[in-house]
Amino acid sequence: MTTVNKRAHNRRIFLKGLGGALVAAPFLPSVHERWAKAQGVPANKPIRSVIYFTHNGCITDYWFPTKESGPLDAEALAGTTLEPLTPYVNKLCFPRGLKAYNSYGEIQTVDPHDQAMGSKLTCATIDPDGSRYATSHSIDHEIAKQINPGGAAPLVLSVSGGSGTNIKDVMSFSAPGVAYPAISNPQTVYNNLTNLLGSGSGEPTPDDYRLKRGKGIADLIRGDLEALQRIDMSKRDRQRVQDWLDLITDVTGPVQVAAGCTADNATALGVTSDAVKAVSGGGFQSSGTVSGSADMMFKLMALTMMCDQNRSFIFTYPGYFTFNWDGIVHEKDHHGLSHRVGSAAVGGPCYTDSSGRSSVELLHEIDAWFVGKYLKLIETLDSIDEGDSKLLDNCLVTWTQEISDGAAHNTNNQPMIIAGSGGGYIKQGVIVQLDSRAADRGKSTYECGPNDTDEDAGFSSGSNTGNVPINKLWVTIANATGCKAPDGGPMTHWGQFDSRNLDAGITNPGELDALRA
Amino acid sequence: MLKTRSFIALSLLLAACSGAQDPGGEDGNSGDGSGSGAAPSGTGAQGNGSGTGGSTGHPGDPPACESGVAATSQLRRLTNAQYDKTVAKLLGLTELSGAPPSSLLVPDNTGSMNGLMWSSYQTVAEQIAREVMADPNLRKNFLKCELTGDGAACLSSTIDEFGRRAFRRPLSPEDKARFQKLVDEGAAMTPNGTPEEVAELLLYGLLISSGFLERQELTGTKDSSGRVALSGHEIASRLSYMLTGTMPDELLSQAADSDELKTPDQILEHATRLLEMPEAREVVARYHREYLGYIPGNSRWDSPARVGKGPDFKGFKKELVPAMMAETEKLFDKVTFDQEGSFKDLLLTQVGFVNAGTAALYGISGDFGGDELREVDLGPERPGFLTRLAFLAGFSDFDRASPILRGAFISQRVIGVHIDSPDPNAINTPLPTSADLDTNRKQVDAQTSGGPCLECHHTYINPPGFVMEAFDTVGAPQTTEKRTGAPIDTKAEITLAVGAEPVPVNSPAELMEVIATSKEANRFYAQSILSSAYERLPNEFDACVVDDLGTKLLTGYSIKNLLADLARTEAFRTRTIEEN
Repeated sequence: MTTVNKRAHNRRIFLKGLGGALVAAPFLPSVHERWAKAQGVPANKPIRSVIYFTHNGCITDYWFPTKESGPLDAEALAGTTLEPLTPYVNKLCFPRGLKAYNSYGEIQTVDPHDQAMGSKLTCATIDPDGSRYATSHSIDHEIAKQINPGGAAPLVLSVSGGSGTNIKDVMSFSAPGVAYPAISNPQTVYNNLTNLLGSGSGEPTPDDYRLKRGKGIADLIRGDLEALQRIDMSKRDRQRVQDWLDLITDVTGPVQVAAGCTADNATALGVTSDAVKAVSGGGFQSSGTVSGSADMMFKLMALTMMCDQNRSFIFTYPGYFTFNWDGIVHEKDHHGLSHRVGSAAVGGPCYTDSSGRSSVELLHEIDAWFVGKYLKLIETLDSIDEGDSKLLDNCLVTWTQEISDGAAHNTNNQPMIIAGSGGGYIKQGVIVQLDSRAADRGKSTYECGPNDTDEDAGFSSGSNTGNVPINKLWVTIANATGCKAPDGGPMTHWGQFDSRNLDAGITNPGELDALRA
Repeated sequence: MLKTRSFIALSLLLAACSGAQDPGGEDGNSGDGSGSGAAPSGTGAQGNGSGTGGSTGHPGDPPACESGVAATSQLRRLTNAQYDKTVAKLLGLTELSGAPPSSLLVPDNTGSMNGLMWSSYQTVAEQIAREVMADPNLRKNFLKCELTGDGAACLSSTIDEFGRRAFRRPLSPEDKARFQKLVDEGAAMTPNGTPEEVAELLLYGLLISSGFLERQELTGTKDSSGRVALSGHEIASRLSYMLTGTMPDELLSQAADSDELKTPDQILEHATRLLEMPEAREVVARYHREYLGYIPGNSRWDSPARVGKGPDFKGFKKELVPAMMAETEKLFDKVTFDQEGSFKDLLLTQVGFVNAGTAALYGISGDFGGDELREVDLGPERPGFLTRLAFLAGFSDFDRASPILRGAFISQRVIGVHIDSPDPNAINTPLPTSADLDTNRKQVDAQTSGGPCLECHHTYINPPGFVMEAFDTVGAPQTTEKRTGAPIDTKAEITLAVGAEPVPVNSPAELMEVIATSKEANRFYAQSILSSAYERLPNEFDACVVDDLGTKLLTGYSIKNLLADLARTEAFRTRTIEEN
């Protein structure tokens, strides 16, 4: 049974026996169908993948640890943007030398922002002229399909302004050319979970009226969809009907529900109706709908894990918003600042705001905010006990960035962190150099920063090395979560290509062995 | 040498309707076809910077006319915008907790129903049903009778009456039986078993049924060519969502009931009527936004180099941008609906809409009061939307006018020349500076004279952009280069299609005349509107229709007639099923 330990300084939530007790299904049948289907999946300590994504790169030479490889300690983070992560050095892994996405330049010559969004998680080409959507599904969907209870789709989240369907906003693809936009309203996620949460203070009775209503509605919709199945349709349309039908089931008796999935635990986590409402809705970006909403999304992710409703997550921020919250007051949007000129133009005089702060200083402030949010996410996951470990320990929280430096638009030397070991699959407390040549910390401060020699923004802010294809990282993470290759063995391939020769396909299959614990 | 480099992301320019598109699968999408249209929507897609583009382009021919009808999905899910408008028309409910109902749904998504999406539909339906039953004014939109006694009679008639409206078709006997069973057993599924609670349950069930959530086309049989004629109700639904963005009104539904939507002329009669409704203006404004591809958040407008700095940006204020955008929308609305004009009128009208701020930028004197836009005549030197501030100021560079941005837009989005994305290394092409390069035109001409840039820039992109150098960064007329005082040359030769003889023009007014009377631009406009109206990418089977409509536009055929005629085509009235 799940318990809540209200300690003085750190209220912890204990998740025991995630496999769950048998309780009556009180709520919507659709979610319980997934539980029924999950019986064959190992229920204890499932491994979850969380991809934490930020746009426009960062000031790399402030961001990276001060050492290239070896054990990660407080000294390596001291003075860097990442210093607030110091309490978690033993739960972090820095893969160095990766490329933001597989190859670039000779296979496709498309805006690197668009190519990063389309190719990063798919390792596939993108439609170059139309939507610029990827030509294959993304790794979050592959993981979801393989390990989620019932094969449910991944949970892709953002904050206000982050749910557009333009390629600038979309990095998740459920199928070739089919974008899977992020949900930016916490209320939508919460509404789904409230249908699951038991009261924690007593089991609903089997004759609860909602149970009966659920059955009646399930009968209604099933009949509706089965009638459609008798009509001559294309294979695609038939599949649509079947996919919908798969979400409908009867709830006629007890089904398995995660024991930690209770209203009490949700409250202990800070997820209440009022709290969700306070940071939901509104088409504008404010402290509540961005900063508060991000924090709530992290809690909702944790609650979703506690209810074992999903094991594949993405959290993204919009790439083109102007920071005006948490004490940050900017006059130009993140993308414009990343170009150092304060607008989408490339090149030109360095921007300084009305108080004389340089674009690099302002970007450093944004980077620090993103670090603070990443810290909040892993703190949230680390505050929940799962058996004899923490929820974080059974996650892989991978922070990946769109490009590496926003002015150079370089895609090599990707700033990246993984928090959590994925149940002991990935090394912890270490910086792992994956490229044969040592990667530097980049030269972001060489354009409009303290190392610049003029007052113009140019393109000297990139890095020299770090071109290891990223598909091997996704293979490693997928295997950590329990994904398999079609032959039942570990996955070895992800994506369409890993070199500048599309026809060659994946030339170097397998995991990143150096990351394995 | 200046460090200023050039970098253009042509994604914005190429996003929606280029010349020859692969139709992909059903609905022209490569994935599931139940989505929201041809072009992705959303925010944040600012084009990047200014400068070199089209370095490796190859103009493509429009698809050849081919007889046939492309396969479409029979199960198009309502977009979130359509969901809101349908709920509003059906029940009179426009908000849940202060926001449109769809704010609680997952974003528009062309894939299959998934768990979270399904959950969100149920949650929203539950809330709508609760609010409707709790509000007497809303409730009467659902129940047309009193729930007397056990309410059974009223609820049974509601299944028929409301079900027909909600599903945009009469319910089948099978449908009715399912809902009747829900009503019959509803008392046991509700806390107190009252008729009101059962009614709420019924409404909930209807709102999460496929017949409500999807625009279904399920009837009919294939003819010898594999086509299926749509039923009257399916025609009514297509027509209503195409022209008003919501469910059919009562007159259209009655026509469907009476089987009076069988012939193209019968359909045309209702299309003409619907185009007079206020909702049609909203829908057509969206089609025109998709045609233009303007992004309100264009951050060049917000460049620090502009605001209050330099002679090029005198009088420019970021706060004027909404008025500039609104002016363009009003121009399209005026020409389309008030003047019942044609495509050429969009390019040639002298009508402008200004307020005190934008009047000053146009150089118009007079008392224009505050922020409200007033109609003015901008004279023969400012014909059409391409000489308005929104285009001229938005398609300028951050520190100078941009012949490339303006020219690329005109060639690609107005004339319809297909140009591939430039090589990303184009960002490293500097804008040359030397004493003899004393105009922006000369600098850009030299900048784009390199190998891979030359063909597209010098043939298709730069010439119309050079003509538009008659207007400065903000949109004011200019005859000399502010930086050097050198005279500005606005003469150029415009190439409208591959292999076409270049047409000499001397001024923006002449350029607009050439474009307005070109078959290429008229055809491309017709194709763009067709794509928006049919909510899919155009395909080779549309080419005959597009050719025909483009030709008619050349003769002064109105945009309203074009929209109405889109409801008479084979592609509109029939469907085919994708081969498995």
